[in-house]
Amino acid sequence: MRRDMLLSLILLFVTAPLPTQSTRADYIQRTEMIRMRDGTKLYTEIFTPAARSGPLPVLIERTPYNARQVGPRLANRYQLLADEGYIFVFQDIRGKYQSEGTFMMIRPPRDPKRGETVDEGTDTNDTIDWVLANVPGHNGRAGMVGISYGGWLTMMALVEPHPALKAASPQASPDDMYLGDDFHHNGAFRLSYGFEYVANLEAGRISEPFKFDRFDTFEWFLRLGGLANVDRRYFQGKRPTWTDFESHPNFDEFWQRRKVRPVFAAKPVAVPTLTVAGWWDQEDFYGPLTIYRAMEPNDTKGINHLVIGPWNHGGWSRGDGNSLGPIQFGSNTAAWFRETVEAPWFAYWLKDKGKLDLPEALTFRPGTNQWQRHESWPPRRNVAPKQLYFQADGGLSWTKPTAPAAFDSYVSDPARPVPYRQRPITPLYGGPVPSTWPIWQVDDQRHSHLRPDVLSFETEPLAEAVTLSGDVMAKLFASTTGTDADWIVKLIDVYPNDYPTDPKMGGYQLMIAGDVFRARFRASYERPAAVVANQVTPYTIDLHGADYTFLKGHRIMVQVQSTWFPLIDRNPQKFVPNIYRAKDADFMSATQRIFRSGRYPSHLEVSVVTP
Amino acid sequence: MIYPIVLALLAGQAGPADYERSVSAIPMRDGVKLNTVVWRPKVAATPLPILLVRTPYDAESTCRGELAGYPTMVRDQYLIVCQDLRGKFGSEGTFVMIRPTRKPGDTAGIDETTDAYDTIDWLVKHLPNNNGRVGMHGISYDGWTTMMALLDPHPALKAASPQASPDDMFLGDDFSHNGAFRLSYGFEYVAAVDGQRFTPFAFDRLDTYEWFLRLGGLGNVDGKYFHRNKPAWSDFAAHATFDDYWKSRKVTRHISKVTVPTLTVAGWWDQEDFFGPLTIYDKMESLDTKGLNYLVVGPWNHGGWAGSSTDGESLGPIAFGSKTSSFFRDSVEAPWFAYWLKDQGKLDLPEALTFRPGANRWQRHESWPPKTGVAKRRLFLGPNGSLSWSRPTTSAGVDRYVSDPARPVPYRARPIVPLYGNAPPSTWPLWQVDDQRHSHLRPDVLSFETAPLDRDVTISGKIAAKLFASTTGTDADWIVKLIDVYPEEYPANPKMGGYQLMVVGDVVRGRFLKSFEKPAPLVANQVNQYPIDLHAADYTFLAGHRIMVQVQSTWFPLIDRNPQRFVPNIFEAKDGDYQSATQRVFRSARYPSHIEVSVVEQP
Repeated sequence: MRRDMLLSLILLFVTAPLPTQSTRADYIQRTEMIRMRDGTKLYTEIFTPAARSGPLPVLIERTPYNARQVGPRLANRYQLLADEGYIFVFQDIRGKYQSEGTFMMIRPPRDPKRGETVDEGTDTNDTIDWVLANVPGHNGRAGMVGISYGGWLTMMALVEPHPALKAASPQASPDDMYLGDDFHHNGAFRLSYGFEYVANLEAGRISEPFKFDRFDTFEWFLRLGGLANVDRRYFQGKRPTWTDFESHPNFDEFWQRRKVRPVFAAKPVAVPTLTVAGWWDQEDFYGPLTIYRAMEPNDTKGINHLVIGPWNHGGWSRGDGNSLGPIQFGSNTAAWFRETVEAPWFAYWLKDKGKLDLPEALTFRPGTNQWQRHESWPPRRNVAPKQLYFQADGGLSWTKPTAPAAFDSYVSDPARPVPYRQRPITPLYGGPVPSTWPIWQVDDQRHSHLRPDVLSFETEPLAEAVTLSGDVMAKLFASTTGTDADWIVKLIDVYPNDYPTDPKMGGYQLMIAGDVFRARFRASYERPAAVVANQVTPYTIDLHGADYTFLKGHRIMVQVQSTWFPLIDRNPQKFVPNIYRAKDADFMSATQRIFRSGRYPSHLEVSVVTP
Repeated sequence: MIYPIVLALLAGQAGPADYERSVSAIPMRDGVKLNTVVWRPKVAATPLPILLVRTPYDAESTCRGELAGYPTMVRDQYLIVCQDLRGKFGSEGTFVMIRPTRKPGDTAGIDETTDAYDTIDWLVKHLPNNNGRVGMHGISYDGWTTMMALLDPHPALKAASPQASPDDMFLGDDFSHNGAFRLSYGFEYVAAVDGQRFTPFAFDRLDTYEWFLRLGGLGNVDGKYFHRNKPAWSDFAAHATFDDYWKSRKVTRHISKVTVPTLTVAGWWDQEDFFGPLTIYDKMESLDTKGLNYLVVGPWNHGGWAGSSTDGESLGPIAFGSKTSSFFRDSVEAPWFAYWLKDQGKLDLPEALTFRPGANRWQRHESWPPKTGVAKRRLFLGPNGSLSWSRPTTSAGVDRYVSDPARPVPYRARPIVPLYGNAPPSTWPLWQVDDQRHSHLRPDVLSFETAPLDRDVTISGKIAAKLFASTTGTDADWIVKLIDVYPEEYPANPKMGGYQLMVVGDVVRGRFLKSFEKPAPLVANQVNQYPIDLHAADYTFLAGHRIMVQVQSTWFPLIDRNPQRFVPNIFEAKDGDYQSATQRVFRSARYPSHIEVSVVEQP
């Protein structure tokens, strides 16, 4: 029960309105329609401590998810900050809920050449101007915080930061909707999420989850057939972002304009920035890592910091973070973050309070279950690059194979794709039972293991613990009988088969990192090209990063598959110019080969902590 | 604690506390003494009948279960007797798994029939205040010992209820189905039971799917684990065909008369012995000249009608709308024994009483299977995963899949925990009501389903699949499951939307296509016609539901892996014998694969 309640809270947090509850009695609320430079008025709630003790900084969260639902979080998510004392400003962005104007999904920074005069950055700056001019008792400093879309809005505020903006914590901000975050990974479309998120957020001013007529969305999406049916049957042109997906199947200017990191790769870090990510973030994990890394070379003042914990999307902002699904972390990681990292960090920059005891990067290392302080992320010291090679008979080891020709094969049939989790796969939002989407990444991967369309490679039980800290890359040498293919690689911690401390976890297969690569983009995301059938082709698949200890007695496993449904849309496996317009007949079975020979040694590149 | 007892007696509500226990070692004709526990009411107004259970599962705990699980019969008052079989727990002698019946004319030997006879003889002569009548009941092995007592019943045996008794360990019950070995059950059961005490096997892996897969060929079981200390396992390996070993143990081969009132009980989702009770009832019915033979089938798993822990209102996530188990215990079983053993009440029991899930009501039948009011109809596999009442007319129609014994279809979602484990608790008793979506749309499983039904479809009676199939191998397993697909949207209970509930399912092994005695290789790529007995159902597919059929060639580790290459004895198959094969299932005019069901005709 408790878990169900927690999950429903998680879900509500992500998109749906929270049940309105009384805000803190020690804060006074006022509501304003703040005028932007183009005359559009944005709905804003301002909370001020009833008993003020001196000038206070302003803390802003901007949201597409209904500002009215943020105030109540002064009692939980913002409890410590509220205890500390801030002037909280919660605002609906354009076109959402009580605000005027038109919503645009991930509105790119304005381009004067296109006649654009406003963007989320100007809206933030106009809001700060208004607050400083109209709300008494401030100390002239503003901070900004937000998760997910709210994290991205925080990044947008940093593009041309208001002089009063003195601290910003973008948390799980997407960076690139085409390469790594919510909507696509490496050009492969995140079908269930893309569909449900867009259906929900673009339902109108007020979001409304899509109403499935089937409990099991695996089958719903499969019966849907080609993606063109989405607009034909359901959206009818009324979801602009869906139309954009269809019109921009490649990494064209549309997506390039929406990338966050190029803006920051070219300018000094001016505002102290605390980027936050979760190892098992089911929506935006790529974003915070790439954003942090884009900013870091320009961080001449040492004000750019990174925190990564054992969390799902936004998991640091609620609950105690002692566990995620069945995985235990041995301490209250989320509560600790809020109390020991987030609140002091804002107090330091906005109130000159305390000292800053934050390393360059702070990561929680599951397995050993300890926080690690790093001088850099990824770590450059005390780590060595190593390769984990695929071997015969499902083996995985540090030794490069020598066999002249060796491969494993499987048939990938888009008509019978591998479910990304155990069926039934219930709706992400608004389903008839509480969503479990937020914990899918810690699902037991035995649901895929030993399927005929999934390859698994695993080490022997480890004689000593192995800690990875840093980037993880897969290098796959593969061929297909088709002319397009998806390659999915998952890095998995296999618990000991006999696990007396928690018997039901015996043999659990916990995914540490995983991602998909769409073969058509192997040479260019801008110009997809057919794969040459039956030709061994190298693929590099970025599995992002990990700070993880595979404990003694555990095994390291890699799974390879070519469907991951409906997380990722089905690749027709026959090259078509635009998969969004693929016809039923374009989808075909293909035989995939994964090589593990001396010449084609498929492997994972990891960064192993040296003793 | 006199006060509560008196109160209870005054209220006519005697309970277990009103019984007292004694123990006897009853000598059999060969001198072996069997440990026997007797619980008798402390206060009884009249002589009482004896209720006997003979068990390999510990007489002491069995009797405590009787006292706790049968409040109505406890209140009615019986001399409740539980006995350890030879070689089990407190009894002397040697245990033999499903001890075969003596050869005809063997007057010197012993078997469970003579032990039952000798026990009853002793009980009526020695137990104070007995009324000279004995009843027997029991579930599973204890149902089988009840059947054994009926083969040559003692004159004092006046009523017997064999419940989930196996009939045939090779064709349909615990150890093999149609000659396909029930690996996980056969292994775990023998490991636990084939010895003096019940000792579950200690797996070194939570997920037995992977444990059995890593085991490799079955020859490794003795080599690595049993070391020939489990005679039943050695017998499995030595008797891989339907030879005299199995035939001598087949119950229905030995039934020659029906002289004792008999109430056979079965559960639709019995994960161990469903074939047995139906086959036994059938055979006895053919010999029942006096109308003494009855059948009850309810919506239960193995023994789900008994015990204090269940009222039978549901099984896993499937709800039945009433307390089917307590109804059976209080309103069927207890009055039935009271009628025959105490001359109490009237007998209001039809020939066959079945619970019909879906409609969720008890049905009274004049015969089982019903002979009137039903029509045989065929559900044909069709193109694009369809299933319909129309025979295909196309000349070509085939679906195919690759069956790889190295990557068998799990019979339930992994991890598949041990059958007899506590950490975590076993869910084996519920597996037959698992959501079959774990197999649906796998590349190695075919699924065929009707459109949503526009009206209820009730099937009542036998079910037989006829599969036209070929394989590129020389041996193959064919598994067919009949499934009720709940409506995709199910507001009454949203989480059941689209649930795939197996109604019946079973396996046949290609090598036994022509003969269970003499297995033979299949001719690769030749279309064969496989009859698959899916036993029976009394089930309503409600309007809006779909009927689905799934076909697959592995069901692991429920069934051992067929090497798919013919070998003389699969128990001796080597790793190199296991091979992938491409299976073709036909659905053409010439080869119309189908399932034949008995549909209740609409009024």
